[in-house]
Amino acid sequence: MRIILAFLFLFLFSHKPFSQKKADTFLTYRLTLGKKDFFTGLAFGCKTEKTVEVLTVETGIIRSFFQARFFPRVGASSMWIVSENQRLIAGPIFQYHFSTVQFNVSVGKNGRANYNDLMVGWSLKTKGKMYFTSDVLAGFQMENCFNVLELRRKTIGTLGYSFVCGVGYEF
Amino acid sequence: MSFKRIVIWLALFILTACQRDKPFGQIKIFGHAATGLENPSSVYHDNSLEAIKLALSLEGCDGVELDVQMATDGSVWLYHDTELYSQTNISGCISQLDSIQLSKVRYSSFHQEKLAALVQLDTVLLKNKSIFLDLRHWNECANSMLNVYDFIEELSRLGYSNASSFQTYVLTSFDQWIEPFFNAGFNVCFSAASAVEANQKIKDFEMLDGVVVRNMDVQSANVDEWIEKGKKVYIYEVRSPKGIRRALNKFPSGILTDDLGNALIEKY
Repeated sequence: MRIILAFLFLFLFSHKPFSQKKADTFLTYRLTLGKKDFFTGLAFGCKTEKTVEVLTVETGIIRSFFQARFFPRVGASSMWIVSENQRLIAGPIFQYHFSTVQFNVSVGKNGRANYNDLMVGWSLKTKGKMYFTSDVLAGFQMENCFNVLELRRKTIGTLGYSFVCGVGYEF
Repeated sequence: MSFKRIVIWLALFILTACQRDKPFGQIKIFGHAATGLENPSSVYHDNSLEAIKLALSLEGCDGVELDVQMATDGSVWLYHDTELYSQTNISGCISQLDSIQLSKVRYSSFHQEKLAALVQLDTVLLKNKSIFLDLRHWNECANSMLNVYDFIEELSRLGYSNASSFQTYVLTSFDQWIEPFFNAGFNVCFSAASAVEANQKIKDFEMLDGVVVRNMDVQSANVDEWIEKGKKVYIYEVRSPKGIRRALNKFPSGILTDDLGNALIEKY
């Protein structure tokens, strides 16, 4: 967990504060369809000349709001701008997400499942103060749960996907 | 009252409001076809060995329900559909193929799991859990009835009739198979198409251990009545959080869920 937080910290501050070039910052409200849930949350990002870096904090809608079980997700993504005109920017995107949910509260941390997603895809973002964004991603999802048969946590890899749309404001 | 105090009280209220009493402790949770039938969020294909192991490894899962079909050589295989081509890399029916042919079958899924034979399931994994064997009595490809005694012989040989470390329930929707399985020492549950049919079978067959009914077909009054008669009631077609909650609120003996994660969250 500490490694993930350190990674996110470095990711966030590696571009804007120390960069020589001007970076635009923006805040997006986004909705994501993932394999395990629908997620909603905020994304904070900055755009440099060649890349768009984003940090997200979200929560699973079904688990959190319909099942009263908090399902947080944090992540980071990096988009390389390969196409830019007056109205749109587009390019490939690389994304990492970590999410965690407690399935069974009666057994403490053994009832918790953690998910690490590594995905690649394509991202589109409109330009302007108010903008829309949309990403389509696919990749690996690593599910980590306690295995009662082997009495240890085990990780299983599977295919994951993510469809994102968001609306935001550029500062 | 200071702003700080208001915030503390509000936070306490929100935290305690989120703690729901869940009176479902006695209801058992079983994975339908292991980790759920046609569950898009499932890691492994239904009825595969990998899915069975995953379901049994989860904290709070009380067992699995598996679809059992018999091959031409009398071996039993775990597969839900009639035709193999819908889910695997070959065509035909299990009842038309033998073990050698079936051992080469793989699902057309991300992990490409092998088609599982019941003999491959290590019964040690079932310790203190339950297994439901949903038997296919009708060979749809050949339009013929399978022999009940072939099934009994094979399941007994594999140790499912008199296992002491786990519970075996045989599910059937065919009247003529109830008595032979009961006489062979199996717990038999009737897989009913409606509450009316379940009611009738409970009246007709004293030896039934219980009934398995669809969530949408059964009311809590039916469940109470059958449990009062000493029968177990298992509810299936339970997938969404709302559906799971509806099933749990009928207080059956157990639910056969298509989403183990959601079911565990709703129970605990």
